[in-house]
Amino acid sequence: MGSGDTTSAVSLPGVELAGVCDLYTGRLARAKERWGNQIFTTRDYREVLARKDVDAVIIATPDHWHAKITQDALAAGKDVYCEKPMVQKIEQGQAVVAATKQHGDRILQVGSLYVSSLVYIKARDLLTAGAIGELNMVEAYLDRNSAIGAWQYSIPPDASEQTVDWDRFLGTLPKRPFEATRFFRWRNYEDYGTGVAGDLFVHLLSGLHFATNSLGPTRIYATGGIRYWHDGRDVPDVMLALMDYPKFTLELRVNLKAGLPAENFGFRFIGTEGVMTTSYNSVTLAKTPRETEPGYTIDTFAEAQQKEFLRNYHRQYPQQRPIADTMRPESEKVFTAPKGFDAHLDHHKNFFAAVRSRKQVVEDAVFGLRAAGPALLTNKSCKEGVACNWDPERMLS
Amino acid sequence: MSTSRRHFLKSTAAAGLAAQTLAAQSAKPISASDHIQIALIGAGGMGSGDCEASQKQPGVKLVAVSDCYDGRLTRAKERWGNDLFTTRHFEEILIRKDVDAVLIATPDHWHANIAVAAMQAGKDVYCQKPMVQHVEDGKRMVDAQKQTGRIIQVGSQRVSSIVYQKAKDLYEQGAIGELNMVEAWWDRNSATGAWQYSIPPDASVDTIDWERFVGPAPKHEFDPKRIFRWRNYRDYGTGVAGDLFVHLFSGMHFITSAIGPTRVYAAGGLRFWKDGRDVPDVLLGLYDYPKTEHHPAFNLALRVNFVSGAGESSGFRFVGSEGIMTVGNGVTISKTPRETEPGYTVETFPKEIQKEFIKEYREKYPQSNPTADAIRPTAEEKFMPPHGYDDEFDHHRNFIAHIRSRKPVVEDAVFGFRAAGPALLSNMSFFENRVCNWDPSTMTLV
Repeated sequence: MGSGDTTSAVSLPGVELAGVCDLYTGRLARAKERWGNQIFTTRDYREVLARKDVDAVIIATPDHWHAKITQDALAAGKDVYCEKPMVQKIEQGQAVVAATKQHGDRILQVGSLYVSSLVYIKARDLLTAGAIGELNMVEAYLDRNSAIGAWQYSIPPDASEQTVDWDRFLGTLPKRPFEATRFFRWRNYEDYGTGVAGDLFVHLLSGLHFATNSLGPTRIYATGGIRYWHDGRDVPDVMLALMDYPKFTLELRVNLKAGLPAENFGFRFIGTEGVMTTSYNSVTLAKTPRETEPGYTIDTFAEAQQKEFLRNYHRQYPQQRPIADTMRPESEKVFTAPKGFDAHLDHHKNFFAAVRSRKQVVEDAVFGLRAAGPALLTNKSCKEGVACNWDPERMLS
Repeated sequence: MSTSRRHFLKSTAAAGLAAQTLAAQSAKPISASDHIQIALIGAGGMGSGDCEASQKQPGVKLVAVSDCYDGRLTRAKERWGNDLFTTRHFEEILIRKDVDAVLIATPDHWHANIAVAAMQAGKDVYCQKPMVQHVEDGKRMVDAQKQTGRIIQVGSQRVSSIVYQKAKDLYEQGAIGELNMVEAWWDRNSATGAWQYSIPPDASVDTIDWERFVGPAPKHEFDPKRIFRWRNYRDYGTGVAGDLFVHLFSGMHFITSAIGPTRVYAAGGLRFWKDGRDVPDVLLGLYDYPKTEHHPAFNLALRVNFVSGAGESSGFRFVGSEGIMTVGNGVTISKTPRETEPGYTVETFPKEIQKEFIKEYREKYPQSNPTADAIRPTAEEKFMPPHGYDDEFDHHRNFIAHIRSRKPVVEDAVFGFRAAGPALLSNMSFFENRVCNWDPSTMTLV
């Protein structure tokens, strides 16, 4: 993610990469291969933060380092682009929010790109305009079916305690012997990552909150398990969640062994007058107007009563000879993003625009916590078998 | 392979199939001359439909009808003949010697009392779903079936459907690999779909036996909506869970041989049909199925939305490691073979290390020149029942066959309770804001 973020960032006008920090020396060598020998590289992030020539940092460490480095970076006067989830533990959220204010209104943008995506701006516009009537339910899903999709990332042949700063990786976690799998496939372990919830639910929640102008759910329940990828991981590979929003119910689904030929991502927004579905690059709107009359179920009434019922019914809903104008408009409209559209790049554009203008971003620390909080509560719910309450306004569980 | 499945290899002709299904489930040859007399208790929409399907079976005669609304008794005579015995009191049906079996299609709050009384009176019972309105009544029904030795079949017709039998066969043959998740839904978007059934113009305390209708439910003043649209009230019905989730549980349990979840959670709300009802019109449930000898551990997600923003649709998605089986009017299998190699993510490694990685990778997963044979078969196969196929007819056919053979039915009191239990717990979870734990083996709350 960090390299992807950096590639997007340095492609923008006036943005220069000054330093790179990583705990695997191979990544530092690779950074120089990619972005030039002149860049400063280190295993110690504090050396990056101490540099006067750095205005902003991209934080794309494993989740367990997000809060600490973000707070240190803000304290050092840097603007921050932090990968999602903003925090690994829900208790870390308020401190990060406070840090953005304590240090002279720094910019913090969290890395859920849907918040900057044309597709979700379009979806929000359509919902606001009442395109599907009143929303009652949302389904959001991300299905995968590959080893890499299930976080079985490659481990370099030279991975060892010499090339990896294992102790620093562990940070404040209890010491344990070096294990390359835990380092390079950290998403598989709750010590360092946040599982499906923090990697993928948080994206879905960010997109949803943006499109529906929601602050968050009040109640959260999740279940799932390790169904297929029995590779030593300790987090579920199938996870389903239900969340109560004030006016609608959200269902989330991630299945990392989904029996599909390709990744499948999207939302279904259900309203009284239609259904809106979204994907990476399109919004589809299918409208179904409401019935003009309720219909009847009278075949179990005595014949005389049926006749009387129909007389009354047609008085209320006069029987009309169908005319061309009474044909009900059913439509399906597809809005497709322009060719070359890149939500990831747009998200970085928004970040650097804010760094320059000092105007706050949409996906700031508060937005980030409102997405991360409920996502992290799905882990708690799934593990403990309980439903969790959440105050989306105050961001407290 | 069990005998009940073998027939699918032989023929796909409707009549042949159905006859063999029947033969497989009943030991002795069926004689249409074995005369069976039935009575209907509760002559509303479902009851009348059941009655039609039952009377289509050879040798079956309807002799009596009971209902709390006089208009339905009049209608029964109009439809099925003036010589029918009709009454407001189901007890008068149960004491009749000329009734072999009863079809119970009352509101849910009467199911258990009438079904138990009917079995004790020596009648076989076809009982609409959900089998019981309250979890506490389940055991009573199971015990009554055991003690009286009567046949009881619950009215989720999918259990007798050739479509679900086909899905079961495919599932058991491993068509989708290892199951990890099931989604099932029932979406509606109309007033009658949302239970706004018609109310007859003559509905009054004179034409309706209101006290009798209320029966075991809390006392309430006369309100025609509460009798004709009883599904909208928790006093008499069971909401979407008892009306529709229970069908989804029945179908899914039949296909996978699952006996039920251990954990139940539901969420939703009353979003649109605010007509005085006290049950949600959008309800979603999540269920944990632990590993058994028949299936691996998996999760079930159920959804009913009465404001679906689209037309009516109902179906299942069974997700497995090698494909997806969808069940609706027919069965569709989409296969996705597993990856032949895992792939790699090496772009953040130094060039030298990338080379070394790929060399080792290719030793393990040799790069083969693509040949026509290497094109991976992604297939979608669709199985449709014969035109005009009617699973309700088949479900009644099975019921009548078992009345004659005295052999246990698939959808008996235990099966019915294992479908109703988690459905009713969905309501409990929703209304009480809690996670419910269930022991599907003993059919008790934990």
